[in-house]
Amino acid sequence: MGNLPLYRGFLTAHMKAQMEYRFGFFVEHLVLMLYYCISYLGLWIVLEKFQTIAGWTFYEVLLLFSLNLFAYSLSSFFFGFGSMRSMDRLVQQGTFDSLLIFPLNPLIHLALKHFSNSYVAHSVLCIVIFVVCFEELDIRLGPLDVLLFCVVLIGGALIQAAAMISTGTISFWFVRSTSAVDGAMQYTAKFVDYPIVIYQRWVQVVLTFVLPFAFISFYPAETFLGRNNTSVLHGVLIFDPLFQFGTPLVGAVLFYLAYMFWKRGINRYQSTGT
Amino acid sequence: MRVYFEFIKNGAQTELAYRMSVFLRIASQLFILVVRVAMWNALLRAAGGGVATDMGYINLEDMMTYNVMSSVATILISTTVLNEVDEKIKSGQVSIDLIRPFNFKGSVFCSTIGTNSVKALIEALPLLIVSILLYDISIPSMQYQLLSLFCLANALILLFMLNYVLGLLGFWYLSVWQFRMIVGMLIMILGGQQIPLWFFPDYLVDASVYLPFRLVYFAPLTIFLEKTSLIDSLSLILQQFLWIGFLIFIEKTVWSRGIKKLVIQGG
Repeated sequence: MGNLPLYRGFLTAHMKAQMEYRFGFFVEHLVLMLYYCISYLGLWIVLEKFQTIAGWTFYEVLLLFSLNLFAYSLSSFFFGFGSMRSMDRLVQQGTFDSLLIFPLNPLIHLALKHFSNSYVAHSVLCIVIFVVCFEELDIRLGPLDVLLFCVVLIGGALIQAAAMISTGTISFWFVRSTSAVDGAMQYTAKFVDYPIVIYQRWVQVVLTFVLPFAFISFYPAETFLGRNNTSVLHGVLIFDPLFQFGTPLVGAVLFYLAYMFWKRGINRYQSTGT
Repeated sequence: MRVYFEFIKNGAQTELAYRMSVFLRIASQLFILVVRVAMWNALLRAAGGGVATDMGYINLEDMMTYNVMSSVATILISTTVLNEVDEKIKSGQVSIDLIRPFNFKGSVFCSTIGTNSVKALIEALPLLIVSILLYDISIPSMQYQLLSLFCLANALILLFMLNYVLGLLGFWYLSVWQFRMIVGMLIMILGGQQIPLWFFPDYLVDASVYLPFRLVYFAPLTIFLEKTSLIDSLSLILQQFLWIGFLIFIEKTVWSRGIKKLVIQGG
């Protein structure tokens, strides 16, 4: 951890560069927030008419949306476009190679160098929505609950990060397929904006065991909303109650696996001298 | 020898990537479609298989058709004119285009037609075929098919004009991408691309009558689903013509002002 002051330096430099154009900084963030609010408008219109979707009310679904969006934005700070999701460009243009010269772990270097602050808007919006949702649903959270919630948020971000790192690692083998994998990953992640009970059984299984995005939003939401396996649609009760606490564990495991995958990719990349 | 093999691999990868990107676009449309259909399925099943609205009874088949045809229509009428015009203005290339012996707007419009013709074949058609195989789609009578097609053609022009006029704002404002992002989203929501206007609360429906957006996605789709009478369908098409005319008028004004500004600046 002797690199800590270095990391802080990266961050400061980046923030300073952004704050130079202060007005633009705020406007851009305001606009991004507005953009997402408008997309929530669509959800609101639908649920105003139908009241619930598979038994989930507006604020409950909004929570799902926001959990997903928060995981996405927290992960994108480090591994979004310009970092893992743009690995094809970085490798092809040779930008990535220049990182290998440094005595710093290239993954970390890339994550911090790229640090995209535009996701501050998403994150702040999500936190606001979390508060609003819990408020509207009359759910009181004790300090332990809040702690667990934060752990869940980080766990969700780790899952997304694992997805993004995997996307980037693929480019060590198939450079031009990066955008394909990226698209597939992100579109699949969008599935968990809604309660996964609305999908067919096999989709639910995939979202839980193969590409465990459901742990980002659905399972934590079931816990915090006190739903506890009341979600039923295709005549199916959703798995074991233990799943509700799975998020941080799944996140940590997936992130570790993704990191191992990355290391293998880097080794191969460096040894073939591409 | 190994070098040549790398070339072979490279050529194959490039071609594959190109095909992949087309396949990907269809796949991503399918992904989105699957999510939307699942959502509406859940909503309507819980409501008992259908729901009554001001414009008739909407059942599962209606919503499936709406979702599928909306995805297809989106591909068919999409346009990149906003970015094209924006880039031409920023780079100053528009001044070169002025010297050319053809109409700037016309040329951009025709390139949209060209692009979309190919998209219709490579993206929309496969998507339509796969969707018909997966879901129950209702096909309307011949006259409604023709009407909705005509309405869709108008919608293409309407969407083009809306984007074109927005693009022309680039003469005055350097960075309006945020504004356009929001307008784009509004067009999608109020235009009924995701959610049919049947489900909108009354005040939103009333407000949308004064806006052209519902004529872009909702109008051709609702005609396709035979949810409007013949008279109402023709009325919608007439409204499209009116809005297109109005936008052309605005465009001419904005264009002449913009060119004047450009010339004065010595752009």
